Amino acid sequence: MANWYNTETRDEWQDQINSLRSVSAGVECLQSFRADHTGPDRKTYDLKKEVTWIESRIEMRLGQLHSEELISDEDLLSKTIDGKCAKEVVGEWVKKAADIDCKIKMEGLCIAYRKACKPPMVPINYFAAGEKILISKLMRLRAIGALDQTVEELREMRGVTRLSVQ
Amino acid sequence: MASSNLAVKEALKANPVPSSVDPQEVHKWLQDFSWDFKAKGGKYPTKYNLDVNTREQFKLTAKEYARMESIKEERQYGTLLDGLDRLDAGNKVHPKWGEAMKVISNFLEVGEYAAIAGSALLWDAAQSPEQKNGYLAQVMDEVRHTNQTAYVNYYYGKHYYDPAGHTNMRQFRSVNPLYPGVRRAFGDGFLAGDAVESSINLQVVAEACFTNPLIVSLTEWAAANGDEITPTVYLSIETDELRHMANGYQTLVSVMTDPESFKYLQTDLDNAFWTQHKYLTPFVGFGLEYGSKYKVEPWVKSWNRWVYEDWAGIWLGRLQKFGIKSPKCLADAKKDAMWAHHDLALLAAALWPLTGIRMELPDEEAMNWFEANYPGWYDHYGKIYNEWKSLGFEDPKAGFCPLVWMMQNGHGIFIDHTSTLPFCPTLSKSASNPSFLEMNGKRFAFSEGHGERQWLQEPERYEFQNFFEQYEGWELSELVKAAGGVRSDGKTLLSQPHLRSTDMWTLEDLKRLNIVIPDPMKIMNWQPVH
Repeated sequence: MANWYNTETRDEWQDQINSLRSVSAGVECLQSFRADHTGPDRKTYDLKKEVTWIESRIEMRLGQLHSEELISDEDLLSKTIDGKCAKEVVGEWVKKAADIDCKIKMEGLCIAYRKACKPPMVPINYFAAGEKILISKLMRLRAIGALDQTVEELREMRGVTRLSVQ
Repeated sequence: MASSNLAVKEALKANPVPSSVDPQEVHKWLQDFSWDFKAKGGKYPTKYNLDVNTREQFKLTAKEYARMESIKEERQYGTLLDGLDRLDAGNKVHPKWGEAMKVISNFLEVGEYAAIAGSALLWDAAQSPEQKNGYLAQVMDEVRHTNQTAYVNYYYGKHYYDPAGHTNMRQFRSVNPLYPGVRRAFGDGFLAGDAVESSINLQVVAEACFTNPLIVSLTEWAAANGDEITPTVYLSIETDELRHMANGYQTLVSVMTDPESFKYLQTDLDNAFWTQHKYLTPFVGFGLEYGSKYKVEPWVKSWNRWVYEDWAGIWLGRLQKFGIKSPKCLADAKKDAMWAHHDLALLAAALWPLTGIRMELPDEEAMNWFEANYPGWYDHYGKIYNEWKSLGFEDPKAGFCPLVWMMQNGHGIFIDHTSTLPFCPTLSKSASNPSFLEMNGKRFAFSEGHGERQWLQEPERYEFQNFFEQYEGWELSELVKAAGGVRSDGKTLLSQPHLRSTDMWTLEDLKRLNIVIPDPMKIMNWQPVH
């Protein structure tokens, strides 16, 4: 019987994910998937609700490959997937936010941070702490004067196109 | 050892656990317990600075909580399992109401479940030990309420003459177009985003504003329709709500004295009110008035008294001296209180195969009541219901489907992207100002400007695949079958457009309608507005 939790789309992606054999291939796959299919700046919405399921499966596979390649528990908690110091990497992102006072720029930074650093790219203990700082700042920038902007101004800010049925 | 476990261990070392269960000693211990983690900041983002000196209003929590809740549980489950069993209460409920409870209690369970996480989020964000204790007590309450709301469906499933739907609504609701709305208001609203904004959604709006019209009205309507089960459980829930309202008040107090934090408050209050109202006002009004045989007070009157006068006027009025104002969207909400539940009822009837309940169209007596209390109701809605009846709405052999009728008559149904509720621009009498937008190659529908504004402010927050996008291309009977929408015989539908046990619709009847779910944002000829 057909159902929505075992679809052809998921099967196709699962086959592709199972064929990943190295961390570098997994990283490339995840980066490309996140660029194409996640966030408001994604290239396509074709995968619809399957996006989060597929992303989680790539993350799981990549996490597995990463743990098989790494020996030290310490490194799992302190280094990024490509072996850099997680604290420094996250620190760089937080530093980038320091001078931003525009909510659209800050929003772009938060989206980019999530795509680049969400585990297993960066260990969760560093990723979450960094995201908390960035999102808190975004929330502050967004809340100021939020009720004063007109819908027309907001549409222009987002670059949306109004539609009607002909 | 994880750092949080270590912190707990160190805190317990500094404040040894009481040697007895003497209430005074336990209370004193909790007052002294500092939750003094090394990093007080918590895990989740917030734009607010919460005052470290905030007090918790319920000093009795520690010494009385367990005893009080234990007595409430004994009374409630004792009444249900002994008294009400023997009185056959499950079968004394009017069937119309018994059907409504299939969705009402199940949907509210989502709110209670999300509130567990929402209260825990606040525990994480709070700086004051007493305030943390207050939120922690709420976490325990919400666990209790989740069990209670689920127990109503469980009890009905065992004792009501038509258990189908009470038994598996958690499964079937996944295809109910009305269900994502509760996830948006209660799920996202209670636990996603800023912790203080979650508190405003949960404690300040949903609990302080809406639990009176929701739970008090619900139990009143239930009792009028022969249901002793719902008041037994929901009034027990309501006795905990006062503590939660107080928590909401304390949340506001803890941030209002900080000028930096105060400037964010009004935006969050406005957004939270619209988020909660957008779902609760139509859903509760629909459940009470269309799910009942015997009517009580019209929803618009209850809403005006509890939401408009009591909450927006008196409760928020007390905060006016600090600079808090009533939400700007209140006037539109007031218009919705008159008509939004009628709009929703019409769409629920049009989409009946996906609701999971047996739903009867208003009879003559109900139509007279609607017209008397909502002048103009008959000309707008009543005539449509009568036309559907004459075309064979109830008859499985007639081949009539109101959904097709709507499409053929130019009444397109869309899903509002922010609230995630369905709406029909050409038949809506509520505060409607539809807009259709395209951004980054995707099309979005909005039923009104407040929701559109929320999405434009935070587009990533409202990522959501609506019913039409998700199930586009599915044949309707296949979808209903796949979602578990059939009874134990494997063919008769869970949902029915009448309350009888005869002439029940089957999968075959539905299949004959040959409805393939379209995505209106794709099939219509959308063009840019210049």
